[in-house]
Amino acid sequence: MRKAFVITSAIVLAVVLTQFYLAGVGAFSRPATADAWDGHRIGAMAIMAVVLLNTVVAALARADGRTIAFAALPIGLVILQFVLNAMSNGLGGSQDDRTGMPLYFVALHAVNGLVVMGAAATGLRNARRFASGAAAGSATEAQRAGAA
Amino acid sequence: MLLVLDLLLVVVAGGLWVAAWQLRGATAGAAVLIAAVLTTAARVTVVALLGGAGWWFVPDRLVTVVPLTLLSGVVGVAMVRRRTPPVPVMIAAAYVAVAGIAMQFLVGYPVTVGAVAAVFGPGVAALLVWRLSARTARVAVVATTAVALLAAGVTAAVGSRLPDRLDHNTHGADSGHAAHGGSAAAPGVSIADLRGPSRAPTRKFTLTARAATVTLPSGAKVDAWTFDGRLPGPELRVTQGDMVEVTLRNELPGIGVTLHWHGYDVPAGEDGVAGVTQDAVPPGGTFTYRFEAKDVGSYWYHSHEMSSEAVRKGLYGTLVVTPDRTEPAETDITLPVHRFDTGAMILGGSDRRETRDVPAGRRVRLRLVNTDNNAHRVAVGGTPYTVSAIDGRDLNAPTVLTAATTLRLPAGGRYDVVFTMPAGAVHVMVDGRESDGLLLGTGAMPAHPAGTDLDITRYGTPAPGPFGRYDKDYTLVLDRLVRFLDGVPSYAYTVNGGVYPDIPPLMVDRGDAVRTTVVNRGTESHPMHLHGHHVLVLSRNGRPVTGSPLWLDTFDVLPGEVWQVAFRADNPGIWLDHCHNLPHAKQGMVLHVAYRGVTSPFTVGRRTPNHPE
Repeated sequence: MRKAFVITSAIVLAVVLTQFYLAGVGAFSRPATADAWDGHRIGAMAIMAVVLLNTVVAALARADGRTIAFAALPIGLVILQFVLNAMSNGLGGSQDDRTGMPLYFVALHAVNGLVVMGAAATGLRNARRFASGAAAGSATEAQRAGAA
Repeated sequence: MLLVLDLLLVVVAGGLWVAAWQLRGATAGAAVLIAAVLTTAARVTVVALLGGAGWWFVPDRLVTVVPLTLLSGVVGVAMVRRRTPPVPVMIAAAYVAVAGIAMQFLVGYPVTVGAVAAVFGPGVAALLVWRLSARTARVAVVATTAVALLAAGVTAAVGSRLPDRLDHNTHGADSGHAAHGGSAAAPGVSIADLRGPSRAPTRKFTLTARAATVTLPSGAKVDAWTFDGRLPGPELRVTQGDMVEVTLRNELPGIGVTLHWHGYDVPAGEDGVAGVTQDAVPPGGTFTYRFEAKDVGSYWYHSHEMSSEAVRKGLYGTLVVTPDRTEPAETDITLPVHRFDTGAMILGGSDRRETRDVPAGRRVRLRLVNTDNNAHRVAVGGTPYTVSAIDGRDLNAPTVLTAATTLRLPAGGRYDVVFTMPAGAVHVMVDGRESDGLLLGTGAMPAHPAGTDLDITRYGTPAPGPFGRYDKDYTLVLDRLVRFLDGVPSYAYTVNGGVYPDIPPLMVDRGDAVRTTVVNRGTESHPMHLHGHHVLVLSRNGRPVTGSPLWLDTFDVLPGEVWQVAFRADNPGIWLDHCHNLPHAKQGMVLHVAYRGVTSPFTVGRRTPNHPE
């Protein structure tokens, strides 16, 4: 089960990387159509699904609480991604017209995306350490990253 | 604004409570805990304010806010006594805070027992696992919870898949109005028979849909789907009393097309909605629309097959009905605003500032039409003016406006602007850009002072309305929730918690006075468009309309707003009622107004050519 946890953690990281690629597809497609973001939209759902799976696997592998919580962290961060977008729209931004506050808000989406990436990378490191028996190390690692 | 704030607070509170539990006892933990309690207090305030705006905004929030407030109280008391709060309280608070996020994204309004069970079930199961000693009992609890959640998810996913063919005649069953004429036994009239008059046409048009690369006046090129190779499609200008016949020919490569008369209330069979009032016209096919030009005003037409994509790519044009045949004493200019994927924006047919010479003293009528998915802000500088009509219906005694007022034109909406040409120039500015728009007359570019939006509910003079009592009363709560759309999980746009085609139709009988309350719980505006009827706006946010009676076909419900509108069911059919931000419609925000006894032989679904959105 510990090996499975490492594998699912690696899948999470791979899917997050793919999500960055899909964001690139959306951003660089010309003409800039709304449909170009479809892949990125599905990618978000895929991240949620694999992170959920990874969390369950972490629990089944009897990882410690903080490692499990850390495995689940991307779910909250991805929800925040949706929220940033929705808030931008709520402040008056739209697909066609986004300047000022709505723009500055939604731009945090890119930064938070990096945080998701960092969480996924640290999650994989946690899983590998846990698999090699150094579970204690992963806990402090998680704690430090969580506090930051 | 409150809804946006609440969205942020619920997510932040979830994160803080989980962190507070994880960091319990640590130095940082105390700070996080205080932040969590403060965030919860802020959310209580916001939810209370939302409750003041209407009950629809709060039940799902109260489900978690109330227990979280109590738990915060316990935590607060413990902290005042300088003790670390007990672990079970911290865990419970973390769970309830995260459940708040789930309620926000998964449940919305209305709150059902099943939804609450799905959100809190896992927590109860975890409690059981913790308290039960027998290993088999623990396994049983975990397995039951997992299977129940999985079954609910799979059922929702599979149930959302569009069947091969979905007709509109079984509506009665799911809405509890079994008398709807869907069954073979019930006498019904087919929408295919609800066509325009058969007398000889006095005006005939042919519109040919075809792909074309159109060069705009600036030189920019747009790969478009067009009517007759033009952007916008040809303006159809007819006179009141005309019998209009429009033949649609499709020469698009592999794409179906229809003509929907946006705002013009035609007989149902002429409404041009693929899969509801006709089959999409296939490449090489034709369809002939016939209707009588009775209602003077500004309208537009567009394809209602894959409308989200088709309209954006150029399958639109304007329809104008003028009062008489005499040479008009006014300069009458139709100005549809449209934005293409390339970023090009055209007002009328031009993407740069056009100049037109109009002699001073002449009456000018500008017909502003928003053919896009989002609102545009239009300002008229250089002359006082009136908004004489909205959505093709004259306003009662509109007062004079100046450049300091801006007109927020909702998606799909039309405003008629009327003024007498002054000696100087007049500029029509869209979205604050002076570099394009329309410049009328000669002289210096007029000033555009910063303006405030016209509140149409207070504009003009009141007049008595036609409605005394209401035969039907419906509520539509608009929101954005995670739902399965044709089997795929999506952050979809919902009505009463559902997405098309699972939103029960509003059933009406011919002659009914129908009142509808529309509530926007989301963070985006929803320009709601009812086909085949104009609705009279009764109130917005509980405040009755104090200006001219407003008969609209597209009304823009902003986040947090509550609109009450009414219409007379005087045009039998099955009518779409949807958000005219067309991507929202594509992602679920579509329902029908269905007349009892009307059936449709047309279907949507995988094995049909029809994709109305």
